[in-house]
Amino acid sequence: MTLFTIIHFNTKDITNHLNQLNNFAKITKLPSIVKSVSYFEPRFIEYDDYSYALYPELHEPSYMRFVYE
Amino acid sequence: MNNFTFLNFVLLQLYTNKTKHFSIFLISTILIMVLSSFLFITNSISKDMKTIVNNQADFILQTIIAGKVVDTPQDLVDEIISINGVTKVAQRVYGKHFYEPAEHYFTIVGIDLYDKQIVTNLKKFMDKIDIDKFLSKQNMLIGSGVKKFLDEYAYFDYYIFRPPDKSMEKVYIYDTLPNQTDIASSDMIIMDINLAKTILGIDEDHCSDILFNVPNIDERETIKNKIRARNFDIRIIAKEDLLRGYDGFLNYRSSIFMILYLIVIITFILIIYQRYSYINSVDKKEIGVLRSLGWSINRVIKLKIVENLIIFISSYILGVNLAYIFVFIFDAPLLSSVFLGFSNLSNNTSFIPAVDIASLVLIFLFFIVPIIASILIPVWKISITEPTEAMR
Repeated sequence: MTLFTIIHFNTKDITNHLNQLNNFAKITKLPSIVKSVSYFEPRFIEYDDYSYALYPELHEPSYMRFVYE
Repeated sequence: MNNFTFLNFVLLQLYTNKTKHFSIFLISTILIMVLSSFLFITNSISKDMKTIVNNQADFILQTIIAGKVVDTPQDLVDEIISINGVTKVAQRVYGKHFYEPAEHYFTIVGIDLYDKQIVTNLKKFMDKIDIDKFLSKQNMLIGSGVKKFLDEYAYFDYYIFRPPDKSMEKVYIYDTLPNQTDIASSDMIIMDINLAKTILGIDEDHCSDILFNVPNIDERETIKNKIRARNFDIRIIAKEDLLRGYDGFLNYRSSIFMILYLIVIITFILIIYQRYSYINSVDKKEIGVLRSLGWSINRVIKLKIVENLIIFISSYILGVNLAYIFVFIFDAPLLSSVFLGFSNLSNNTSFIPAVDIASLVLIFLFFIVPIIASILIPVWKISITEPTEAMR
């Protein structure tokens, strides 16, 4: 099993995957990961908790600004 | 007794008591597997994130009014480009589209399809794309998560957006973004920059934020201060801050998991300590027989250490291998949801092999050393008792 793992690790082609990510980042110029992935970051949870339901305009749907803080 | 005979005796001991050791072997393998899987996933996501962030501009400029990020006037692009030492100034348009019935968010990104650099990268990214055809009508490229979601709601060919001005924008689905970039593109919709501005309600002469590069590292601080001195309502974020932010994000998850792991490992060590403290009469007699045959205390302890080392090292090797197969071959079913989330659109990211040897060594030391210590103390206590008393 160890031999199989070592062979898989050494032969798996990750260059294509990384190239695609590079190209994608150059197109969108956006470093943000998808919302589901970032959901559990405490700042997002806090953000949802402190959004005031009576004043929905305070609840901006943009979570991205938190990524840059 | 030479080393070979000693090892042979240890293996015989293990074989004789195989049922006794099996449960410990199984629990250790599961513990190591879960911890290693977690490390492999974290390393893989971290590698993806660093690749994405390293391709970003050196600085991001945002406009802040009353503590909130607002749209940035495009005039700032001309102002920044006039500063010596600044290169590649570009506007960025992005935002969220909230699909209320399902309470899901899409990320809308507008790209300038008349920018040669972007078009070249887009063609590298998607071989089949025909830019003229894409621009012939209102088209969009969607992430695989969005595609799956729209299919569920029967939007097979197009989707109708409702911009803030209450108009309706029918946008056709041109193609789906490749799966390799799911970590960043699963919830993404890419479209022409002007269409994105209309849908997101951004004025024509505004953008979400501005990007710029400063190739000379020594000039960066001066240029930042120069821009800040001219504009009081802006925030400039460096690429290094982004990297630190993402490191913090991944470390936060690591620390939560580490706390849980520590609780489990301490419990496991206590169970093993208890097991060896209340060692049964057969084990006691066995040690007593060995002592009466002339074995020294050191040799009895050595026997127990080697016996347990064989169990734990083999469970460690098996656990790490199983974790590798689980994460990088089967893409960590169930566990991946903990990391990739399940609150928004589904994400089918496949993890690229990223193994941090230092972390594996650390697991080995943190796992094996306390466990061996928890065995050593009770075994030593029995070994120092008189053989006749131990055999009673």
